[in-house]
Amino acid sequence: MGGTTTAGRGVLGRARGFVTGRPTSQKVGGGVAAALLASAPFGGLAGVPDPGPEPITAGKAIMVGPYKVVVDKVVELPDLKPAVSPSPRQRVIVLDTHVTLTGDRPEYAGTLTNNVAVSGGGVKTVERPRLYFVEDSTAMTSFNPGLTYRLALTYVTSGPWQGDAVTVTSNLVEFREEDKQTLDPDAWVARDEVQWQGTLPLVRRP
Amino acid sequence: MRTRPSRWWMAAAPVAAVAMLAASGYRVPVFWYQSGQHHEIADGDAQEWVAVSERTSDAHGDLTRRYSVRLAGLGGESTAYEAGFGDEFTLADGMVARQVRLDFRADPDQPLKNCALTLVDDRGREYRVGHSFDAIGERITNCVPEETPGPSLTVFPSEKRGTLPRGELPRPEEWSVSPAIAAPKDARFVELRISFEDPDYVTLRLPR
Amino acid sequence: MRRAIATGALVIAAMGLGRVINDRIPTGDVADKPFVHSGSVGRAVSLDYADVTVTGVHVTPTVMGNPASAAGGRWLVVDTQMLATRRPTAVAGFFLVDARDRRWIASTRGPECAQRADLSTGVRHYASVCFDVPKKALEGARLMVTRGAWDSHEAQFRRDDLADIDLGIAASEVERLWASKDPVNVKESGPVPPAEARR
Repeated sequence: MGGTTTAGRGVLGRARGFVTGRPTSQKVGGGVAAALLASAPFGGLAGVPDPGPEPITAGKAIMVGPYKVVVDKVVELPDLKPAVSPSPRQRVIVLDTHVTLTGDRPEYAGTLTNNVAVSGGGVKTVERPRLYFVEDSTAMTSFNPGLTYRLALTYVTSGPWQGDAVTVTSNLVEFREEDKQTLDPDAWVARDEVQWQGTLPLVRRP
Repeated sequence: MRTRPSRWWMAAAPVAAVAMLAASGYRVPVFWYQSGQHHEIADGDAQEWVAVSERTSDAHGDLTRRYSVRLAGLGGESTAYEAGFGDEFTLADGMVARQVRLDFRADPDQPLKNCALTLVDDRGREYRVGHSFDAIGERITNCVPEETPGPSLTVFPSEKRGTLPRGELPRPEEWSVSPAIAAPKDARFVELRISFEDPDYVTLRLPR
Repeated sequence: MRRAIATGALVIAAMGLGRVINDRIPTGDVADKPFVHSGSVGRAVSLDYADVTVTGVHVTPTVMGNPASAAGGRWLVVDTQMLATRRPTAVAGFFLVDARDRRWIASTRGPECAQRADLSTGVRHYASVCFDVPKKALEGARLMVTRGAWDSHEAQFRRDDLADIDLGIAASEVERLWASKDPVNVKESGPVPPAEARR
């Protein structure tokens, strides 16, 4: 027992000797580190809290990568002929939008359709979302910059939407100038992070 | 003891160089070798039977396609030719629908649809029909009888090899076809190539 | 001593070789640029694999068809003729470059508007390409035709022949073209001349 005590005192003594032998700057640094460690239970080591997604509201522009998107309203329909004709049990959720490609170069529509999703209706979306020009119901697959289109972003759902609200989310889409892995420079890349989110009222049309 | 400088790198350097070339060389097979006619699997002269066995694969795995073919000759000077969707149009610019007369022998279970035929002239120009990128001309039955073309390569494992659509009769053991290739009337052709899948092809030489 | 001199010479030689590679062998921009062949409307541009001619240029808000296609800006419709000279050729790159070097890509929306052309050797192929563009794209617009499709880093037609055809739109003509309301009828692309085509 005694031996252990002596050994313990010896360790402490040596530690004290070590600390007193340090220059002042190291003592201060050590003190700060100890204080930070002590504050850990109160959140001292936690990261800066995530600011969370920015809100989507009807009529207000959001940016999905290079696309400026204004969601005007959200509508549920049995079909959107001639563009979308699902089976009788399915429905179509349409985001009625105005879309403008900003910047100075063309872009394919996937950069938009792959990064906007709807949820909260208790049903599944059964196909990939598609994009149609409302004026002539032709499918949009690519954009030239500087033109604004009224577009229907369509989601076929497995059944009728439950409730009167639709949550619309969009991913963070960033411009990547350089990427050593894929040799694919200057491309818009989606990140696994919701940048915009909002709940909009659902308009039902028979 | 005297220390000697390390010499293992002398042997390693060429190995490293080869490894580097091999690692970046996958583009050669993908973008060149497999994307064109680069592997002659059989050849022969016109009027001569040429036996072909070609290794390929389908939904069930590897298989060998076997047939014999004879180039009987060229003919035809019509300017009527087939556009997409079976429409007809008139060839211009000195082009004609050159018929390629071929005789085949094969077991009825051999998949011989979708062959591409290429006429090569003495200037190296290539005129082709039946490839998936060819927008005009017959696409499927260039090497088989139209009514009894025989089986297709299986695409799904649920299909049985060599099965025919309901109501279709089996292909005969021996038959003749004369598909048409759009080609210049005044060209002098030196060979015909038969290809089911790149990079494999069969060369049949025409008399000079 | 002799070994040290040899090692030094080897290092200097290696550095010299590196310098030669950097200075003399084209890397970067020069190495991946296409070979540009310039032309103008009505004149055939000869590429390694095909001859390309622009036969007509139209500006319209509507491309006729079922359904008729409305432009977000205006349709710039370019009628082309192509002829593969040596072997069957797939042409997938059609895009515009304007006076300020901006890129504009072809639309898939017009019912008969072409995005690619599969050419059979020696058989003339007729295709119209439709671009939905804002007004600022019209002045000095040139049509680019090449085998590889346009992508954001223009990698699909590196070191390949490219036709660069001036569509002849002067700054003074832009207002008149933009104001024009006449719809344009685009015929099905293929081996049939548009004047004779039924679709």
